[in-house]
Amino acid sequence: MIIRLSASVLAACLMLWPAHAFPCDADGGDDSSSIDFDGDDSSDSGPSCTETTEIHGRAECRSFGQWDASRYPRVRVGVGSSVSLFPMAGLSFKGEAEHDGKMAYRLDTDSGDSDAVATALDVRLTMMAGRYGYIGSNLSVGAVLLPNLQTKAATGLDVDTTSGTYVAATALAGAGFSMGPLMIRGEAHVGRRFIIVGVETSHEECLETSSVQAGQWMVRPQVAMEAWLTPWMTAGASLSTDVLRDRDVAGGIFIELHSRAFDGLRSRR
Amino acid sequence: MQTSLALVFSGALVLTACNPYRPGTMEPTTPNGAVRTTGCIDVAIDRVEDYQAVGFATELRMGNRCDAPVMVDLGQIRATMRHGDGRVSAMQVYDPDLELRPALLDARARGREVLEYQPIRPGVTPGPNAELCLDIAEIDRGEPSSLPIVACTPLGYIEPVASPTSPSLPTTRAVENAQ
Repeated sequence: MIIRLSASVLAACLMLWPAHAFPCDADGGDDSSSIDFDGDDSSDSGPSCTETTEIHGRAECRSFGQWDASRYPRVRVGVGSSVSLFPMAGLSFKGEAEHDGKMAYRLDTDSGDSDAVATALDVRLTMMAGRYGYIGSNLSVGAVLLPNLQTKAATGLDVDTTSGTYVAATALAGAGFSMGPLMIRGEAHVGRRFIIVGVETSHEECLETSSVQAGQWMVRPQVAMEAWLTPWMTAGASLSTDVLRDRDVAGGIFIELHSRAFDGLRSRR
Repeated sequence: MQTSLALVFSGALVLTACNPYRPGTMEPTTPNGAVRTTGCIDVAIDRVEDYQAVGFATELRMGNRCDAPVMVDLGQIRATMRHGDGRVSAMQVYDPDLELRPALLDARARGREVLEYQPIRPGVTPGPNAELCLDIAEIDRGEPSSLPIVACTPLGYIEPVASPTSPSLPTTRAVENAQ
């Protein structure tokens, strides 16, 4: 589903390409409805403002230079999908079930086989800082395939795991360098991920569903390579590892939209 | 509200990302319009009818041919009225709030403005075969042309009895570049 969502963004773009290719050039029509920051962006006008002329100095709902790129911050919005392999050793999920009073239980990872695999939808927002640097944040939400969990529970309480949810949020800083149609990025993520385990507990005739969670800190260097599909869109792949744990790696693919063409980094000819 | 804004921004970004300007694809929107190139900028110039115009409304559509952003200064356009008898009258852009300023046209992006030009000297009206000529040679601040890059469009003849606040703009005819 995640890959399908990512693909749909690209597909939508590709479908729009012929329909929106140079509308103002091909048909000579008014490009005010196009999306080229041409100054007729109706989103800038309040609902009570009705424009009666487009002439600069006479128009009331728009100001000069709405196409001025310097008005926009250099930001990137990305969506992608990733697969993470990470050890859950040391994670402990503690919960309480309500069956004739509170009954405690705990799920521990098996020290011998504690690797989990998570597939996630990633959303990231970054803002350029300086010529090549950037800062931002990344949010990943997905499902995790849990390793065997050892259950320790109060007498008479049965505990079954039903699902695993993966949530990771990181702050990041990095730098990107363009080489022709490609861009290489190096960045560092610092944040925390949470594993949320769906649990079904039963005691005599009583059945209850709930969830327990545990978290890990992450410090992840990441490298990525991306290609410019258009001046405002890149697609690429990334690899990362965690310096806090062994065998903690992740890889992903993504599409990014850039508010400024080529991030505003290219120079004239 | 925030969701709507985010959707609008995202939608605009996606659509923009799919639609870069391709060099040489700029075309005028009227039969008598013209396209000129200066530095990185293709400019389509078309006269437009607008009942609020006191002078002569002109649509300028720009496309950046380059992969680098370009500082565009529409205030550097030199406008003149060329009369049929050879006289030349200076024109000025209508900019009551002095908003006209250099602005950054992003790489492979488009921009559009509608500017109104008025005679600097009061009382100047276009006689027979008069033309409005715009010299765009210096609008690309990074690469101004030393030679004029001029596009002219006929203004037609306005009868003296015509209302001074709403001169009619007769159908224009094509005039080739005067450079």
